[in-house]
Amino acid sequence: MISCSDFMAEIGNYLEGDVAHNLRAQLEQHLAHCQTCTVLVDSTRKTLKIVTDTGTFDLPEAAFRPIAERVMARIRETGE
Amino acid sequence: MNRHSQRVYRILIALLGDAEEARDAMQDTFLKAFQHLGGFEGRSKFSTWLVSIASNTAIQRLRERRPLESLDESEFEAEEGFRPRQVQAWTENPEQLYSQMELRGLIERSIMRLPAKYRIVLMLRDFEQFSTEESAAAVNLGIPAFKARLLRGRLMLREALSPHFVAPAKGSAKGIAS
Repeated sequence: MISCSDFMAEIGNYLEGDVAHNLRAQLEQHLAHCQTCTVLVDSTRKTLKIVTDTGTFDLPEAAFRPIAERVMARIRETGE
Repeated sequence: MNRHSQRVYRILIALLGDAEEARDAMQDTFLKAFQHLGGFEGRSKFSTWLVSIASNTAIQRLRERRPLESLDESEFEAEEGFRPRQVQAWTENPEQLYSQMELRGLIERSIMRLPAKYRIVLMLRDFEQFSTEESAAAVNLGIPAFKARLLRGRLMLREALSPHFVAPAKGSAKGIAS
């Protein structure tokens, strides 16, 4: 039976679905008996879902327009 | 330019940690891209090439202004041994606890509190959905080092968000057993 430390060493690959079949079985056997690691997996998965579902760090078009205009002006100046 | 502006902005803000500086660096990034367009040979995706230019632009600015903050692979060893402290179960649908605007603010503030080397890997892999290989190449890390840094970043972000998303009080789980 693997330990919590062993599980933590593999949690990244487990979250990515990048573990061999046998190892996956061992990791899931650990999860079946370990509330703490189960919480970590669940909450990390939810973190990733929230990150991908929520539109963060959006640059409004109104903020980008002057940047684009300055870039095009510099390109015209240098004749690129 | 417009099609790639959001991605470039996110990469720059992740590295520079400041919205105004990121917008300033966008101009440099797109100018460099236009100047070197002839050198793009199609060996990678255009978006990956553009991200490399954005990363290099930001790293150049960081070296000039913030010499103490490093993104070097030599810090790989520091990724090991992170122990999460927040181990209470989260509510089933944490996104439903807040409005979209509140959620966005919460995530942005939590990300911006992380060191730049974790912000950038999260931004590349989890926000922009580059592959592990593309993301690692963009920050000049080997795959194992990139994966270690990404995991650490994800766990740190989870740790920062956890107090906002825990389920209504039950007994909390004990800390990680070694």
